[in-house]
Amino acid sequence: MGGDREREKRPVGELERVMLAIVGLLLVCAVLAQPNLSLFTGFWQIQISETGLITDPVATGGAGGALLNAALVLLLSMGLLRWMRLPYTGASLACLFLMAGFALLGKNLLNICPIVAGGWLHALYRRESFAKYIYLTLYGTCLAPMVSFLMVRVQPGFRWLAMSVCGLIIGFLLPAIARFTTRVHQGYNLYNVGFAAGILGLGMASVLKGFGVEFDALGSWSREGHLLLCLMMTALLGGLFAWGVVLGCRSLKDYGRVLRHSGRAVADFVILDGPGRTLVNMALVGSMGFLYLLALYPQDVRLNGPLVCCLFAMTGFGAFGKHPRNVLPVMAGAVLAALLMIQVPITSPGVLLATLLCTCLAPIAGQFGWHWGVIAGFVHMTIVQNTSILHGGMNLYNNGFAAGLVCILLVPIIEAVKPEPAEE
Amino acid sequence: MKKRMHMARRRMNHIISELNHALLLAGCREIVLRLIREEAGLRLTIEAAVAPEALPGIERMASLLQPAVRNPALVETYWELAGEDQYTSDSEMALVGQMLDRAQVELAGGQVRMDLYIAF
Repeated sequence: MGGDREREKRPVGELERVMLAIVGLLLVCAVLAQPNLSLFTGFWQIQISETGLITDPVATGGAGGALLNAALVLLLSMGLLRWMRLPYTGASLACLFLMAGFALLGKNLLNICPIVAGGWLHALYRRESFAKYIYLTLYGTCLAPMVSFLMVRVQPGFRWLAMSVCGLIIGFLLPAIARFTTRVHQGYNLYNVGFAAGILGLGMASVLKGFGVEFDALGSWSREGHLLLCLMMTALLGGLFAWGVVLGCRSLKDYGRVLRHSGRAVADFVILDGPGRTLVNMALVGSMGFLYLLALYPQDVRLNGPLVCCLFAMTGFGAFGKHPRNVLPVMAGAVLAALLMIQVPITSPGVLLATLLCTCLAPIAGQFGWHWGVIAGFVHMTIVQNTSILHGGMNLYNNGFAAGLVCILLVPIIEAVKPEPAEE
Repeated sequence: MKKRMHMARRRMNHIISELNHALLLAGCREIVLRLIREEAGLRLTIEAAVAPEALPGIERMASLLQPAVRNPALVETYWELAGEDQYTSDSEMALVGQMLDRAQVELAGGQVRMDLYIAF
């Protein structure tokens, strides 16, 4: 094809090795958590269970089964990238971390496959390489709970057909919507596909509700495996930091280059500042979320699947827009909102997730200043409490959906009140 | 070919918008753009005089327009953001670099010369 790019190999190898090491870490932790046959039975239980907005696979199949699921989902995603011979840039790292993370919050091998096939059909229909649609397709698997929902709820005999058709429709439609939503929020929402999936989920859930389907608020929240998950996160973040230092980020001044970026898409730190600084930044951004959760230990907060998912999301987007300077104000705004609102205790599952995932609005703080970041985090925390009902809890990136709405609300206001930049 | 030409044209418009914007902000007084439709793609050449104080910015621009790797999946998702930047972050220039199929940027004697190409 005429538009195909030259795909060089130099930085690809190193970052691919980093991701392979993470697969290895997940597998080792899986075996440590369940060193017997229950690892596989738990894994299978996760595949065939219904999932929702806050369902913890650790509660369904044990920590080992959940980590095995995460490792295999990550491996499948990496396999697709390798098959398409895509280079590893910040966008790839963000996408892969999100895939691994959300395999600890609702995605599994079985419910993502029909969506991936739908994305492939989209590329086929447009007569373009599937490589172009890989990220959109993989992110699009955030609607996988809808596939699982049909697999469990539809009568035997029709369920495989129903889930396949549903997945194909999602995978086929989502790339087009996601390209459009990028223009709507102007790159200020890093979880763009979450916004697109929220809109598609709203449409699909409304149709299904119209035919009498009822979406229950399904949820589970485990408290087992805290120590193992803490050790795993420490090894992961420490490893990323060390690898970044080895790749050349050896001083504060060196790292400081990353902090200059607003983070607005497309802030691919691997392309802009190189892999070394990116890996160090990923470790630091992930550590912020990790330390926040550890600080809430006295309030009875324990690491589990969904919380590790959030840490993976933060760490991954440390390669694509997030850095400590733009993340902190947004998190502060979200915490402030949670402290002030009576309805939402700061340690409730939804609030914990929103505090960590609202960081997808970090570009607002990076572009317009920390005070707007605080406001964005505050508004996000209020809006996200009311969005899941719209798509029946079927969009795993509910925070991305809410963040898109926050952008529509805030960005025009900021641009209207902010003085024009002075130019000579 | 018709479809791909349409896409290349749309993308080139975004690239021109972004580069105009960046060069004017860098302090260039006169910018000469030449757009040529070739057999298999669109070629854009740009020449501009660069003030000495703007040189580091233009050097950074040159490196972003000629990246070590190009990621087509990244471009497919975000290319419509190019040319929209009102606040001059260099992430948009990085996106332009990703959108191009080939780029050559030369800086000499206070002049910058860009030869940028998008295939159909």
